[in-house]
Order: sequence, then C-alpha cells, then structure tokens
Amino acid sequence: MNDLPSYSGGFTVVGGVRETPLESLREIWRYRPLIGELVRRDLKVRYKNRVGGILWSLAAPLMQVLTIHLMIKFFLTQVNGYSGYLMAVMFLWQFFQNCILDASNSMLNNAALTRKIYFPRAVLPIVTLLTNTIHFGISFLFILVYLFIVPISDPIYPKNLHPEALLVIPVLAGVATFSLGLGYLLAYLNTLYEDVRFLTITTMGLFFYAVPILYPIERVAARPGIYEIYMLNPMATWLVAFQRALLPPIAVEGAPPVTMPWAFMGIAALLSLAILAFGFIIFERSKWTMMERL
Amino acid sequence: MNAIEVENLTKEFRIYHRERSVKSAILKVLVWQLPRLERFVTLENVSFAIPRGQTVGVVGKNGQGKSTLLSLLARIYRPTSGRITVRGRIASLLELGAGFQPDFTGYENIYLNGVIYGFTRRELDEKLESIADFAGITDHLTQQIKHYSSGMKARLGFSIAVHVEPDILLIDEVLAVGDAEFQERCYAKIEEFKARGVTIFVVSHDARAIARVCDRVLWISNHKLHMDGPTDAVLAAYAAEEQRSGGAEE
Repeated sequence: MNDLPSYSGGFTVVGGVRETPLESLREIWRYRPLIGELVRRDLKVRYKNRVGGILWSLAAPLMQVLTIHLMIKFFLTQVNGYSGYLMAVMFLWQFFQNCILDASNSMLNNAALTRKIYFPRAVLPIVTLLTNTIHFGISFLFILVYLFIVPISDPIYPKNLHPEALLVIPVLAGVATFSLGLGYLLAYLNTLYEDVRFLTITTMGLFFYAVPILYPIERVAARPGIYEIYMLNPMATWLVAFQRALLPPIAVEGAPPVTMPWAFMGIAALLSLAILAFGFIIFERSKWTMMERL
Repeated sequence: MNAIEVENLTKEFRIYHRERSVKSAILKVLVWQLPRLERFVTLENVSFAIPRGQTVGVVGKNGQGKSTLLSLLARIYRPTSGRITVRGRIASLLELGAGFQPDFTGYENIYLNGVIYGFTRRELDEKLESIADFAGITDHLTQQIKHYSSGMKARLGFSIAVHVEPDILLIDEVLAVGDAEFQERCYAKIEEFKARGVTIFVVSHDARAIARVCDRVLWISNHKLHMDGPTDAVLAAYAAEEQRSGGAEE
C-alpha cells in the first residue's frame, strides 16, 4: 500500500480475541527502532549533565559499599579483601533493583505517550531493562578498575583474572531475564494498585539480607540444608556466580569454599525463564485493560 | 476499497470499585467483600464503512462516545465486541501535546514521535525542516517543550501528524486551537490531503468546522450511531435537535 517502513500499515482488531504470545513477540521485534529511540531518550534524561550524571549514579552504591565495608571491618569478623567482593555484588544488586523499579513504573511514566498512540506496550519494560544494562556496563568498568588497584600493595587483579570472568555475560543475561519477568508482573500490578511501588521497595530491602552481600556465601554454605534453600532464590545464585566469575572463593574459617555453583545456576536459569514467561503472559493478557486504568 | 470498516462495534468500560491499594484490597478480602463491578457502555453496536479518500465528521454531545470511537480507531483501547479494520498508516491527533516529553526539546520530540509513526531517523532528518516550518517554531526547536505555549505545542503536534504521510488522519477537536492564521493553514493542509486521497476522520463540537471540510457526517447520540449521511442533511438534523433540547432546558 505504501513503500514506507510502515509498521503501522493497518490492522484488524476483533473484540474479545487475543493475539498469541508468539504474535506479540513478532510485533515487538518489528518495533526495534522504537525501542532504540526510547532507550536513547532514557539515557539522555539520565545523563543530562554528562559526566556528573554518571558519577552521581555511582555514588549511591559506592556509599553503601563503604558503609558495609566499615561495618564489617569494625564490628564483624573480618574477611581479608572483602571490599572487592562487596563491590561486585553490590553493583549487580543495584542493577537488579533499578531494573525492577523502572520496569514497574514504565506503564505509568509513559502514560502520556501510550494514551495517544499505538505501539506494543510490552516494549516499555524492555526499554528500561536495556537502559539499565548500558548503565551497568559503565559501573562494571568501575568494578574492574577497582579490582586492579585494591589493595594497593597486592591488587586482586591481574593475578586472579581468569577466562572464567567471561561468565559474567551469561550471569548478567540471567539477572536480566529474571528482572524483566518480575518487571512485567509489577508493571501490571502497578496500574492496579498505587502502593505497589512502596511494597516493592520494602520487599527488596528485606531480600537484601537474603542474598550474599553483607556476608560471604561461605558462611551460608557452612550450614547444609539452609544453603540449598537459600540458593533456590535465583538472585542469590546469580550473585554468587557473578562473584565467582570475577573472584576466587573466600577463605573463611570453618566454612567450605564455594566454587561456581553450576547446579544451582541451572535451576536459577529455569526459574528465571519461567518467571519471564509468566510475567510476559500476564502483562499481555491485561495490556488493554491496563490502558483503561491509566 | 474501504479505509476503515467498523462492524457491530461495542465498547464497554468496566469500572471496578476496587481498592486502589494492596493494603485495603487484602483487608477487603479478609472481610469477604468482592470488588463491585460497574459496566458502562460507551458505544453500542456501531457499524459503518469509510471508503478511501472520504472526509468524515463525527458530531454528538459530550460523553456520548465520540472520543472513545476515535481512541478505538487509534488502537488505544480494544473493542469489547465487534470488529475494526483499518487499511493504511494511521496518524492521530487525539490530545494535543500529549505524547510530547516535556523535558525534551522540540527537535528531540519530533524524532521520538516520528519513530513511533514508523520512520527511520534518516527519513526524519529530511522532514525536519519542513515540520518546523509548518509549525512556525523554527526558532524554538532547541527549547524544551515545557516552555512552549499550548498553541506552539498544538502546532508542532499537528505538523508532525501531517508530515508522517498518513493514509488516514484522525483529528479530535484540534481545529479549534491556534490563531486564525494557523487554522487557515490547517484547513489548507486538509484540503491538500483530500486532494491526495487521504481518508480523514474529524471529531468536533464545532459544526462549522465540520461543514467546511467533511463529505459525510456520523451523528452519535446516546452511545449509538443515530444518523449517517451527507454533511448538509445530518448537520441540519443535528442543529434542529440542538435547538429543541436547548429550548426544553429553558
């Protein structure tokens, strides 16, 4: 009908008939240029004053790392060189947290756009995920620099740098899958109830203690039975895997060293995919009613 | 070939008198109170077909389903039952200035909107100048949209919508904004579109605006398609009805 790159070249909608998830996925794929443009927009908003914006967004996790480091140093049994371990997991946790909060707000934040014009609504959580991934890439460089210079007398890197470090990529993909699935669920709930954001933040605050950030995972591994249940939380497994990809196990008195947790990673991958499928289907089923509630 | 086909379209909004927070929702479940559901029919069994190139106006009182019809055609909502078929690229002017990011410059907003309509950045580079010219805001393109007046936003929105080369243009109460000179340019653009065979769908309170551009008018009353025919006949009947109800109120 026209030779423009028209992904809006016409349509038929029939009341009460839903697209299959596969059709929705195909449509999202066709809207790639829109995803790119929205990511560009989000990055622009985030880094409005270039360098300052990046440094400022690193400040919050760094302050947390510093506080926890001091706390461990003075009040808890000390683990040598823990700040490097802390740095790695803290930034990954921050990535997870931002992904979920941004995705859950994406429908509300873009209401002005979605009320005016059609595009597949499911691109919005994808956009927030991609924006946060790019942002995490920047933080990751920061982690690497840190590992190369601390401790100053005998830096962790390059002597501990192995090819396994490349495992951070599949681990990041796992976290992205998990958080996108939760993001779809929360984006949906967020249009129904106004206190979902508050509940999400509170829950994340609680789960902060159920993942190996404040303490080395070896301490949990010293308690068989608890360890297995603990690692069923995909985020706990992803954090351990991320840490092990970058750093060797920690020597903790009376606790076995924890190496790359392959079996748990398999479980976490399956759970993450299941949650993504579940979240996406729930979101797709209710995308039209969500529009009426915005 | 019809550009728009609407068959037995019914749109019903469900209003849940449901709790707006998880906390009260849980409390309600504990005392076993299910959410109250209220159905509200905004359009009932509406059918029409618009051939390519026709300009159609929609008249009717407030709250009788005109804007809902436009939103359904723009695929913002989905019909409760019935079928809508649209053939060709559709551009909509539903709410002026909506869809703009207030923190973005006019220039950035042109790109964002253009990409949603299906253009690549390169194609938009070529259109940029003409979009800005038509809106008459070339000097303000690097300013953030939040500093624009409502007239400027309206002009930019209209300018983008007409530059995406739509096959079908949806217009909601837009012709009433802007100064007289801009309105004249809008009418000129609409005439140009009509000459090119673009299908136009206009919703307005302003019977004069509709009389000026439309070939055919749909009158929506009481959530149903009350009358469908040539502009003169429908507008005359509509004016008579207006007068009658206006007289009754006095």
